[in-house]
Amino acid sequence: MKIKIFVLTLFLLIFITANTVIGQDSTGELEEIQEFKDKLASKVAELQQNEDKAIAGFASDINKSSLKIITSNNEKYSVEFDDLLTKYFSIGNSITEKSREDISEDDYVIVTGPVNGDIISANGIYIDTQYVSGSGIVSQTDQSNLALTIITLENDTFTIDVETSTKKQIINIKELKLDNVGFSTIKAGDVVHFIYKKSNEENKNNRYSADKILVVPQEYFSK
Amino acid sequence: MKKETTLAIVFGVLMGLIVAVILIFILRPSGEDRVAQSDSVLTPKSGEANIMPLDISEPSDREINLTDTIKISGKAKKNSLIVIESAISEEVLTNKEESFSINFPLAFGENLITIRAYVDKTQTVPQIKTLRVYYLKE
Repeated sequence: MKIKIFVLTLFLLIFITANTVIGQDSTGELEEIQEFKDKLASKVAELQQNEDKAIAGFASDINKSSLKIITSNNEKYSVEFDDLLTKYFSIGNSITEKSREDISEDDYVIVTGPVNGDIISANGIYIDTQYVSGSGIVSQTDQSNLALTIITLENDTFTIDVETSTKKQIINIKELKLDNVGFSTIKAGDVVHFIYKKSNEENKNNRYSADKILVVPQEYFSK
Repeated sequence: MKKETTLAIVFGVLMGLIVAVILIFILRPSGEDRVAQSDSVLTPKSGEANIMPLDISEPSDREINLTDTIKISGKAKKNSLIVIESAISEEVLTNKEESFSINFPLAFGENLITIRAYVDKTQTVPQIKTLRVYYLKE
């Protein structure tokens, strides 16, 4: 009997000890695994944040799984869609969620997501408007058509239509602040900065309707 | 020819040779010295006469921003007229120091930000930096 009790006690002790040790090991391992998982998740998030870029260009060759974009620097990228991950938006007065079918050829799109060479795995695609800016010296003012002929630094000639909706400002050279200005105040010899919306259609005449102009009066330079 | 004349000629030629030897072999700088001298001449020197280029330290081009304002910081020649423009906003400032910094609003989507610095009142040609910054909510 004593032997049986001794053997049972010994077995129980071995079982409890083993269980405790195994339990400790598995708890420790779980903690280590959890810590490793956390580190991995944090590293993945960090890498994703670093790798996520926004690249914008005009859309072409749109199909069910991809499209192509050409940036303003003439770089070409292939954009790959993911049925579950990729989200589509349109940016106007407000942001509205769209679907892949809403993207048309020649739309200006901003694509976000990891970039691998010239392939972008799209997380988000935003249909937006492209703006272009330029500057140069006014060579002619057309009072009847409210148009400015501007020669840029690159020696290109632009005709900029100043619409009633165009925001027109001039630098007040005494106070160095911006004032509103009328078209008639602008003179040949002034420096003008302009911003206009660009479409993908070819514009051979270099004639654009300005969204805004900012005049640096020639008097600033002759002080 | 008198003996004295011959001696004077020989003495003169000898003196000339001695002076030539001194000039060629003693006073002339060694090859290493000459290389060092030419190097020092060729090294571009930065001085006040050099024009400081417009430099934008932040933001970087194609940066994604999650808020509707961004800090634009950079350096330009002191007392430049700096004009910062986008489709929705514009700012004009002059920098008392080389460094300048300004908060600038962003529209949702792509923001084409053009920074022009007129560093000299005699020049109508500005230094230009153009950035595309994206205000997008993920």
